[in-house]
Amino acid sequence: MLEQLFRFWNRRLSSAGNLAFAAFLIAVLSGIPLSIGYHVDNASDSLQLLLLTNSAGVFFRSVHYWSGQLFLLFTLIHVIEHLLKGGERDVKSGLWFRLVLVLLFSVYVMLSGFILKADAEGQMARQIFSGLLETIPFIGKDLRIVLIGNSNSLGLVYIHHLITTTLIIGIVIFEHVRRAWPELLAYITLLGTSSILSILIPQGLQLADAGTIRGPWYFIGLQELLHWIPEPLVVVMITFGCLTGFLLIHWLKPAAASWTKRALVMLLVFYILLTLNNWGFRDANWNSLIF
Amino acid sequence: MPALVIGLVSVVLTIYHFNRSDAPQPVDASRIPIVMEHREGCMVCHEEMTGFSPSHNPQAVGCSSCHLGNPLSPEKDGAHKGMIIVPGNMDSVMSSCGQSACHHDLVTKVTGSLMASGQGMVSVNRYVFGQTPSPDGPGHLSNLSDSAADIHLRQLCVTCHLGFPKKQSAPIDQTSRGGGCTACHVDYTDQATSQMAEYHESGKLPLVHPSLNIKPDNDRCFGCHSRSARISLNYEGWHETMLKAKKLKHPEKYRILQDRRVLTQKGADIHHEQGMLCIDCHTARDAMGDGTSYNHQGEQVEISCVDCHNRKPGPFVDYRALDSDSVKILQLRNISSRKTDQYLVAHKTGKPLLNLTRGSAGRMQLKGKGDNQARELKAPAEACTDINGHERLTCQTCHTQWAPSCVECHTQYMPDKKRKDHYTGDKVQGVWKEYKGDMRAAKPALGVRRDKRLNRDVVDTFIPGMILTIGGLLNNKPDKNAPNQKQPDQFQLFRRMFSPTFSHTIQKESRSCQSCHQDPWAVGLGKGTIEYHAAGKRDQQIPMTFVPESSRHSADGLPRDAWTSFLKTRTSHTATRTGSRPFNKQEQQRILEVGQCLLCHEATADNTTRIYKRFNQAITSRKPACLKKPDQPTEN
Repeated sequence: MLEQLFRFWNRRLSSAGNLAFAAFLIAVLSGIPLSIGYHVDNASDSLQLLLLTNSAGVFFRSVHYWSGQLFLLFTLIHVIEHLLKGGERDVKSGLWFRLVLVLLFSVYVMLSGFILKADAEGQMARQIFSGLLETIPFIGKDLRIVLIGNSNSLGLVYIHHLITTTLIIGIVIFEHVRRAWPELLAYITLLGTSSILSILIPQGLQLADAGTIRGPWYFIGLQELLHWIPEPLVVVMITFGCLTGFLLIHWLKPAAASWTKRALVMLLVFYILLTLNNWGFRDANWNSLIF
Repeated sequence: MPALVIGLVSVVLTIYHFNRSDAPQPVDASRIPIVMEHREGCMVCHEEMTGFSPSHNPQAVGCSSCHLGNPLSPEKDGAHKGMIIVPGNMDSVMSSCGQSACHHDLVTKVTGSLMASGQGMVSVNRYVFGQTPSPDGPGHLSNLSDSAADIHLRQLCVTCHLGFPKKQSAPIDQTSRGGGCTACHVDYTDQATSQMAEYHESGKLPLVHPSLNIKPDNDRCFGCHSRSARISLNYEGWHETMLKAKKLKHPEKYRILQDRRVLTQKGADIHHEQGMLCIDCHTARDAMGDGTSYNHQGEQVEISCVDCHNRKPGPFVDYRALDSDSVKILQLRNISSRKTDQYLVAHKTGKPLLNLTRGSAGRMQLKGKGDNQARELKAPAEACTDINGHERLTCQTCHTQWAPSCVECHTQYMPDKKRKDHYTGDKVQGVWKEYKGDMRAAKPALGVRRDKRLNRDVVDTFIPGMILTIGGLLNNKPDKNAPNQKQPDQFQLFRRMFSPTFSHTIQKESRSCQSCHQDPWAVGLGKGTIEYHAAGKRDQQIPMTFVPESSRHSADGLPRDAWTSFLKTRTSHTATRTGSRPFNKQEQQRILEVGQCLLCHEATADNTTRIYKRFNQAITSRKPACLKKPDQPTEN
């Protein structure tokens, strides 16, 4: 059924891969004017002033946000589409390894953007992410210093968001699709959708004490998992277990790869359920409304 | 094709978005102050607003700290999204006054305090209706069920608690109810009042904001506390009558409230005459809770008469030993001598009473919280502590001048009618209706109350709390038993319960010995006469009979205004508080026996020393004349 759905989609619109590529480019381009008004040493205040005094800035920030979300969403759809077709075997081993790594970088670039908001949600996300990294045995603290830095400054996160991850993702995409620009129609679709969403659902900032503080949508399932499993290391191990399984699909025999994919799909469905439970059935004090 | 449609729609939408008439205008960043660690965009439009107290100046706390909304949105609709008009309502208080940067701990205490929970009101009502075996908690007015008892509260009482939301900004008046923090702490100047009225009339935004302060005057308490035990009325000397405002021939002789109740003057409390406010006795902890869950009002009150009126006042603490809340309160009051004064510690709680100080000269004084005037405090008279057999008496037992008593009422459930449920705001099927009896202003009856903080029984003042017939309970029978018709009702429940009261009608003069020892009303028997008979022998108890004034109630055979039976011990469902009861047989006997001696031997200093201080000895050495039938006391 999913395959039919993808075929239907691809007949009418650009493919998910093309749309993800376009979203990436729009996110990069819309981030350039945003970086002019953003002051990493006074991040929260610079964004607040942008919201209050610069309507064009608000628009670009929202386009940046929505194109980023769409990039992650279409990347995930692109992965699922190709896993259904067994496409993981069409790429070389080295590229497969780099593509899986880029998936991690894609989540990191999104999360770093969320942290760079420097509002109540951003601060909370930084705290939780730091805590999770530190639970990784042996390399946890070093990894935290490399990815987030060792002070309260957002400088390192900003550099990674602006340069490191953008370059790595850009290079691997180029290697993967072997072209510098996406299809024009994909570009128009993504720019149009991002603009419409930016106008209808502009992005603000979450002040402290202004209600429930939640992480970004792709992080909520993880938050929910942390709520149920009090030991963060277990959560980190589950996450790395899934990634390892995903990475190994390329080298596994077809039958084993098929079972691994099914297991990963079930875990994905479970993750979506956790996300929905958190979104719809938790009150402002994080109490479940159904359990 | 779909891509082109999306592209076209986005272009049109973007052009419209940046060219619409209500698009936000460019604003100079210097006009947007940083408050509470964020930019306060509200000030761009509302910077002209004045009237604030220094601690809630928008330059310090902004607008959104109290009113919520989105201070980071440059657009009116966006900025006002999620805004609350009346901050402080209990349903949103943790986001406004109670947010972590402001008064979180205080608001948490308020949420559990009696003014917010009404726990005593809920639990007593359920007890009276036979729903629970005890008049003590739990219970919260924000969490009522659909039981008969709770519906009774929802229709008649539920508005008188802090959790009842105030829906519109307006100054406090006699009909004001609820509103959380705003019930007490919002102060409207004349200008703020008139501008708010204009706003409600024409929509013109006011430019003068009401201020917030920690000096609630008595009017804030009046709305709720002029009901039930009527302590706000009593304190000012007003007694509620059954008169109709429209039918008064000389309305100038009365006070008519906004709700059309007619009051007559019976004599104010001496503390009111001295210019003291409710808050001069009732501290912040006392009114807003101290974090402990109390069952009833009397338990939450931390001040006692002996704190101020004591021959050996103390102990005291100095400024450095005060808790942070107390220091904050003193800073807000801006008392110049606050760092050198010593503060009296409450006997009951050990907490400081910030307006009771001992200055450098060593004299203890009370500084009015409203007027900051120092008042001299009087020590109690010797008689207060020097008469044997009166150790259990509280100060108010003797010094209460009068208390309002509603002799009997009838509460009837009428299933066929509809009435507003104050809890939900909806009209609901089924109505509780109260038929009130006559209201008296008389010296209160006396009884025994368990003081939980002191952990001992005390003799205290009581008024009829629940002498009522609850009709229509079992089978939802219609209103056939209203008092006027006096028809028997097999579906009714009868209760005869008194409540301990501090009526707030204190005066320096105490009640006379006769007013207790010869007055059957004081003993809890109801109005009437005690007739003393000849004792015959010295070792024989004095025979007495009681002639009641009121007819007897068919439900329990007691006079309608009585609390207990003459020379009998009544135990079941006697009071609305655990540990409270009428005098038992032995206590009645002891009290009334003294009354016989008082017929001939007035309580002069000589007689007190000779007879009353050594009463047991005096009674066994009575002269023959004492054993004859004496002249009877005049009817009370």
